[in-house]
Amino acid sequence: MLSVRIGQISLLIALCASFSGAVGAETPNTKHGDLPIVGAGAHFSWVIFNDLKPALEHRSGRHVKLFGKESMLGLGCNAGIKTAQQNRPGHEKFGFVCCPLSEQEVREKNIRVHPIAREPILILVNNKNRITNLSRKQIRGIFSGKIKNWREVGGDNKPIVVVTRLHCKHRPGHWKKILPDAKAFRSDRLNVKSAAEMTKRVSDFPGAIGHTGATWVFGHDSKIKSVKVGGISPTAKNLRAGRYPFYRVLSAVTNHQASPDVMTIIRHVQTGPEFSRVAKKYELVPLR
Amino acid sequence: MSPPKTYRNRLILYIILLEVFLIGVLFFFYAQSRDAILESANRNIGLFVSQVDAKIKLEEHELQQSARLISDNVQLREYMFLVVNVGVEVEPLHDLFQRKFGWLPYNSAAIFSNTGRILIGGNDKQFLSEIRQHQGADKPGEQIYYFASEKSIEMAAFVPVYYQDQLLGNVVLTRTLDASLIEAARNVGYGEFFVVMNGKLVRSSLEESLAGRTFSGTGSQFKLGRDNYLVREIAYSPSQQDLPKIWFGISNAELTGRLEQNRSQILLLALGGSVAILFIGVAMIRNFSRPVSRLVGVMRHVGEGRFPEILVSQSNDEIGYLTSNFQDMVTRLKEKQDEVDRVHAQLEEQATTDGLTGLYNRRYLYDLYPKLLSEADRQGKTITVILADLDLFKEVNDNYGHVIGDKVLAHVSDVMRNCCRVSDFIFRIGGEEFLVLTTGGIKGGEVLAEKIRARIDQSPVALEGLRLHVTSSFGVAQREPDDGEAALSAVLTRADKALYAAKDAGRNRVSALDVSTLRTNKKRR
Repeated sequence: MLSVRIGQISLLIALCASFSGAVGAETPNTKHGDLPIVGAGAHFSWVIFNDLKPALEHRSGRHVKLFGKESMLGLGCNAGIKTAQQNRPGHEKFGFVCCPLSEQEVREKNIRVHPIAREPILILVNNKNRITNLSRKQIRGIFSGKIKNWREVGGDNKPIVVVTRLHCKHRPGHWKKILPDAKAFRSDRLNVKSAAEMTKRVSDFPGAIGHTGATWVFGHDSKIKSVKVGGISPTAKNLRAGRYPFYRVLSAVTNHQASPDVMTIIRHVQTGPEFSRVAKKYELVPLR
Repeated sequence: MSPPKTYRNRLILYIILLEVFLIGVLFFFYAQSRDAILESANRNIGLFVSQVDAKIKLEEHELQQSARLISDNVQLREYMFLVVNVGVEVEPLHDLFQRKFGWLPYNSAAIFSNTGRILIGGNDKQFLSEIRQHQGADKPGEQIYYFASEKSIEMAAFVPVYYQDQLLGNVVLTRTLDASLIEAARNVGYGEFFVVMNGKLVRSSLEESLAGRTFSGTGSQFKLGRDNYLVREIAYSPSQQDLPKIWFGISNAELTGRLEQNRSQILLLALGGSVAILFIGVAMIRNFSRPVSRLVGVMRHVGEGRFPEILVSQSNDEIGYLTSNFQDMVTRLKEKQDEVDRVHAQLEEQATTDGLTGLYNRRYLYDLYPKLLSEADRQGKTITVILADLDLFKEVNDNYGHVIGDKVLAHVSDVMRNCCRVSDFIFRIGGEEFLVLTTGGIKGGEVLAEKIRARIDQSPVALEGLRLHVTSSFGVAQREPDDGEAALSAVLTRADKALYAAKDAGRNRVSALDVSTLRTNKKRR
């Protein structure tokens, strides 16, 4: 909790700092078009916006500032929602989230959700692990703790280390596609705070298994690989066809006062030709 | 002890006292400086040791903080949890430890599971043995523990590792205690650290060859070999009695080295001061005591009636003035004494000689005879008395007057003086009576008397165209052994008898009187 609060405070400080220069320079004759449009939120959506940033700026004619790389320091889904709520004239903002929001949350927070893409959730193992394919049942058995040794699924005689990142627990979808409740996961697991920690833990332990979104870019030093689920690779094609079972929805969020420029940016992400290239790169399934 | 009586001795005593005082002052300040250095060093060593104690406490705290940093790390706890509970390999834990905590300042590190399994740090067997031994003592919670290895004393910080309220094990970090102190002492080059077990030196910042030597003492003074050290114990672990003791000390030689180096200078100073005082003393003796002593000597001589020459000082100081005046006084005294001696001699001569003839008088005869008698007895000689009387001298006085008579007596005296030897004594004992004391015995006396008689008889007195023929008679006697105390009167009596015998026999002759055979020798011309 403390780290979340610190992250929120840091976000505010960062946002204030980014705005201060523009606000300070603003005069009565200054147009809104001279101010940047700020976007912040979950890393996995940030990847898309960041890849499309030049096209978005070109299309809107506005400078776009994005926060969300690696979702560190609280820049997750909650920060994306909060940023969207702060949108007002002269302070144009929008957010992005990596989890589907319930209708109740959308209503209570008075926001609008703009779905962008469906993202496969990769099942990660250490690249020393000779396992390349696991059934959905095996995966659920491993994450629940019923299966504790790779030997039980045809692997080496090595204890299984379960690494989870059970974020956005009150939101549907995402990791809940694997097991519906956090309590259903194995108790003696490693529960990490970020995708970076996830990949690190799985890299560290040859017997580890974890999960993360497909838009996470693995570094050269990562020692992990994704396995097929029931013989199905986590591709956009398989996801679109409904063969790959684990996924989540990446969305943009705004309040109801989103400016035309903001909406232009979001619509261009949803439908623009540049997004097709990005979706292909990350095996995403566009939703519009 | 009475003070010396002479000024010179008193001066020498003062010089000696001054020398003793000078040397005493130097040694007093030397001892005071040495005590001050040792006292200051003792205080500084105490201060330093308290700083070392504080530094050790700080290091304990730092080591414990480092161990806490490890035990509080979430990732490490997770990994340890996996190793302990899930049974995964320790390499990830080891890699994590090296990556995240390898930079921490410790000597050895170990992570144990709560079952005693070594998860990290299994290379140092002795270290592990000590840690296991301590862990086996069932001492939960954070703590600092010390143990002695072969090379050093190790400070160990134990911190438990919990994960989700489960005790997973302990993190143990060690840091070398004495080796770092010894190294620091060697680098600083001042003061030494000693690690001592049961009174024997285990290690020190000195050369390694001293290991095993006895290191013991009382109070703050300890001895190692021939060197004395001012020491203070570093109480790094008061509760553990089985550990070596660590002492910090500075050798007395190191402390007082500068003073000892200066000791030769101090001694040189003392010697120089002594020589200077000696010179001053000699100069004082030369300038004051010697002239005074010389004056005293002169006074002693003056008191004994002698008047030595005084080397008059040319200086214009008080001593020179005193000497000069004293010389004047002695000169005047000498002149007075010479005059007194001259008058005395004159009086003495007048008292012992006859004024007319210059011969000894009767009184001197009585003074001299006992002395001559003693000397003759020592030499085994016999004193012979020749008594002479001018024949019919009354007629000369009556016919020619006393002036002519006196001249006759002077003439006879000259004749007798010419006839006698230097060792003979001639007296005028009456108007025309003479006496000769000689040592030739009766025979010798007779010969001498005859010689005188003949010379008088043959040499008339020539006076203003007048020739007077005078004769004389002689009585000879010698001192006899049975003369006793009345030796002179006895022999005079016998000589007088002999003289009367010569007179009776017709005058102008010699008569000798022997006690055994009285004989008369008459001779007439």
